[in-house]
Amino acid sequence: MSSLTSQQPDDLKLKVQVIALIGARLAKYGAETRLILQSMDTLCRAFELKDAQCAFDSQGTKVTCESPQGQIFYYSKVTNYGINMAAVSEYHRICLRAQEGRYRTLEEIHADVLKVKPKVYPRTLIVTLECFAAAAFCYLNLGGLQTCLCAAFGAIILMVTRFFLLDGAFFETFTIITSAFLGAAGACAAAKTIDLPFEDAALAMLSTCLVLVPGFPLINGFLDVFKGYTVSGVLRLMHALVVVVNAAVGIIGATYLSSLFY
Amino acid sequence: MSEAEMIRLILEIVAAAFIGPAFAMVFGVRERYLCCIAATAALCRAVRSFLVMGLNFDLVIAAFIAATVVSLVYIYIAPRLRVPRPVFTAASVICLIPGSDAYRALFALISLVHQDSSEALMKSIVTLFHSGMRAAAIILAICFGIAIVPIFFYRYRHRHL
Repeated sequence: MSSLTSQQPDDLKLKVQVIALIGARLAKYGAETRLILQSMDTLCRAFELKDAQCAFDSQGTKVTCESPQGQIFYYSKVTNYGINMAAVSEYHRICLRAQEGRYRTLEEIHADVLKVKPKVYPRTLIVTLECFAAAAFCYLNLGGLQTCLCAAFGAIILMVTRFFLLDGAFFETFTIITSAFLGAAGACAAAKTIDLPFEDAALAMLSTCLVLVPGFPLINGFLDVFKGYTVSGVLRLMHALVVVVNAAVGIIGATYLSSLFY
Repeated sequence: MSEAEMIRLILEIVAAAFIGPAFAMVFGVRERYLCCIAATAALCRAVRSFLVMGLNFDLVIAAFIAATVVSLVYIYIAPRLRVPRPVFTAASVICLIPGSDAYRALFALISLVHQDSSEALMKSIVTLFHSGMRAAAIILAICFGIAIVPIFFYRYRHRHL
């Protein structure tokens, strides 16, 4: 078992690996750049690595440390990006516990890092709540009760399509365009069935797709840009813009389809 | 504010309190924090609607102030819960997204393709720019409200090695 302050070569390698791994996992699950670098530096202080250098880019995280036997370097690649705030919170908590000295050995920290799993809610629950959220969005944008019900119906179709396409490992771009198109078309069809005017149908279509708003990438992108991490911030903002454009393309397609009925 | 406006405000607060946690669950926020998000989403929408309906503030300014209030709340609460702030703030401000302006801009953009008369074309262009700029301004105001407040309170902590 290795203590946190040990400077043995094997322990230094494990420390560098743990730091790079936590940074990469935070990046993978959508943490802002400031949190990633701050967490890695917190661990460097907890492990008493005074001359360690931590870096983060769009491909992964790297940590370099000097030792009497030479330079120790570890690179942890981020293979695919997602967003899971439960995992981000758990990794952040591990870093805080290390900073407070609540771990005795490196192996404990490494085991805790590997144990963290992303939180996923049951799909039935997500679909149900998103359909109510779409109805609530519609109400907030001055929709009536019938328009809200059409938005809720469209949101069910959108979320079911989205999960189906994600399970089929399709690209995110295709998933968003298709689910926005089918969800908006479903809302329009529901509106036409109960003889709502076109303005209400349009509001239902848009409210259905508001559940696709990329809130976390947008907010994290602005946070990164304002704190000086311009490159990573602009990359996140571009990703958010791509998601918005994809949803807009789906809505535009559904609008052209709706012109057949209205 | 009239009684009808009060009822509208209360229903908007309830709707916002529902949207925040629903959005947060899609991104895997833990159950124990969903109540916090519901409360601050309701507070965010309450501040925005009160400023617009009660004090006749502009939509953009009201959205900025509401997002700032949420950011200030979590600058205090998030460290005590040992959770990063963006976990809460992004989901809490989703209820401010300008759906009606965005859809007017989108449909004006689509109708530009089909307009034949110059008057209808001008009307579509004006609607596109007016609603589009307002939607973009509100979204920027929300992001600025969330992002600017922490830089008044925090320094480059990770550089203190």
